[in-house]
Amino acid sequence: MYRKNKKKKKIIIIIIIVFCSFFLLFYSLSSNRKMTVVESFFKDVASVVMKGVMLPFTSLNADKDSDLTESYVIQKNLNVHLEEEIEQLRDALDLNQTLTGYDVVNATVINRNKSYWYQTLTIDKGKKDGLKKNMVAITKDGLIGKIQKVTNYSSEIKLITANDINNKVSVSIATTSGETTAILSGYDKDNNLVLISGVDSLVEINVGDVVTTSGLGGMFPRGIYIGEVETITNDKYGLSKTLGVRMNQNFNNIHYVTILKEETK
Amino acid sequence: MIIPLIIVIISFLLDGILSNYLPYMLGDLSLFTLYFTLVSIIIIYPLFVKKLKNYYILVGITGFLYDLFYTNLLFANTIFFLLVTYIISFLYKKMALNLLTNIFIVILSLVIYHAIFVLCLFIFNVVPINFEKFLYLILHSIILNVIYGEVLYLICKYLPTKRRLN
Repeated sequence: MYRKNKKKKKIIIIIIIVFCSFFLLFYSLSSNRKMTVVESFFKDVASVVMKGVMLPFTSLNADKDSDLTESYVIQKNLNVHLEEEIEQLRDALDLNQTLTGYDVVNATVINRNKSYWYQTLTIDKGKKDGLKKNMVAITKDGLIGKIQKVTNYSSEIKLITANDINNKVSVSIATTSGETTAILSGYDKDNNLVLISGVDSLVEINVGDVVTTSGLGGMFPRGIYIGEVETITNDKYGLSKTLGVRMNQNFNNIHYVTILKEETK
Repeated sequence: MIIPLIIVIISFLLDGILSNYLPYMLGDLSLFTLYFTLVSIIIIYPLFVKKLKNYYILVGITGFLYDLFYTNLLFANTIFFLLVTYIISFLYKKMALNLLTNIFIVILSLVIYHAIFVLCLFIFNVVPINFEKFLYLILHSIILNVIYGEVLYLICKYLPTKRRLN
C-alpha cells in the first residue's frame, strides 16, 4: 500500500514537472515575450559583468575610432547644405517627423546570442542612453537590424539575417528605370545573401542594382544602404522575382554599432 | 567542489568571449560552434556522484545564467541542461571512463541537446526547422567541443577529487 502510494506520488510529481517545463519553454520561446522587471534587472547585471569580461578584448580592437567615425559619416550622410535644406523644408511644412531626422548613439557589442535562429547582439547602451525598442542599428557597411529588447544599461539588436517570419524590412531597389519597392524577408545562409521576394517580374532589375531601405512602414528610415543585387531568379510561373542581395557587412565581425534615434527637439 | 565550479565558470566565460571573437578570427567558417558550458557540466559529473543534489543545483544555476547572459531564452537552457545531464548520468553508470568514451559522451550530449532543442522549436513552431538543419547544428558543433571535452577530461583526471561512476 505504502509502495503504491509512493509510486503514485512519483508519477504525479513527474507529470507536474513535465507540465511546468512545457509551460516555461512555451513562455521562454515565445518571440513577443515582454521582459519583466526582475529579468531586466538580471540582464543589466549580466551586461555589466559581460562588459567587464569583454573589456580587455574590446580595447584591443584597433579600428574602434575609425569604425565609429566612418559609420557616422557614411550612414548619416552629413551634408551641411542638405541638412539645412531639410530643416527649412521641415519648418515650412511643419512636419514633426521625417524619414531622415535621426540622432545617433554609438555602442559596443558585448555579446552575441548563441541560439542559432535568434541572431541577436547585445550592446552596452540602454534606456539610460535614450534607446527604445524598434530603433534602427547600422554600421559603416549598412543596416544590420533593429532593437528588440531594452534594459537600463543594455539593448538587444535583432539582426536582419535572423531566421524569423516577423523579420521584414521594406526596401527600395534603384533600377535603371527608377525605384521600385519590395520586402526583404529572408536570408540564404549558404550563400550569405539576404533575399527579397515577390518583386514584380515586369520590373527590370539588373545585377549590381543598389538596395536601400525605403522608409515605408515607419520602422526603418529611408536610404540606409543594405547591399547590391547579386542573383535574380524567377518563380516557376514567371510572375515574380526573388533577388539575392550581397551585403558589405560581415555579420561575424560586428564589434561597434550605431543606433539611430529620433531627433530630440 | 571548488575546482569543478571554477571549471564551469571558466567554460562559461570562454563560451561568451570566444563566440564573440571566433567567427571573426575564422571568417565564415562555422564549423566551430561552441558549447563549452554544456561540455563542462557533462565532464564534471563523475566528480559529483556522491553529491548528485549539488550537481543538479549547479547545472540548474548554470543553465539559468547561460540563458540570462547568452540566449535570452529564460529557463529554456535550464531545462535542456538538466535533461541532458540526467540522460547522460545513466550512460555514465554503464560505461568505463577513458578518453574514447569521453568523446562518445560529449558527442552524445551534443546530439541530445540539439535534439531536445529542435523538438521544442518544432513543437512550439518558433522557426521552420527540418532534419537537415538538425544535422547541420550537430556537425558544426562537434570538433571544438570534443577537443575541449578531452582537455577537461585530462584536467579532471589529475584532480585530487576522486571520480566515481557508481
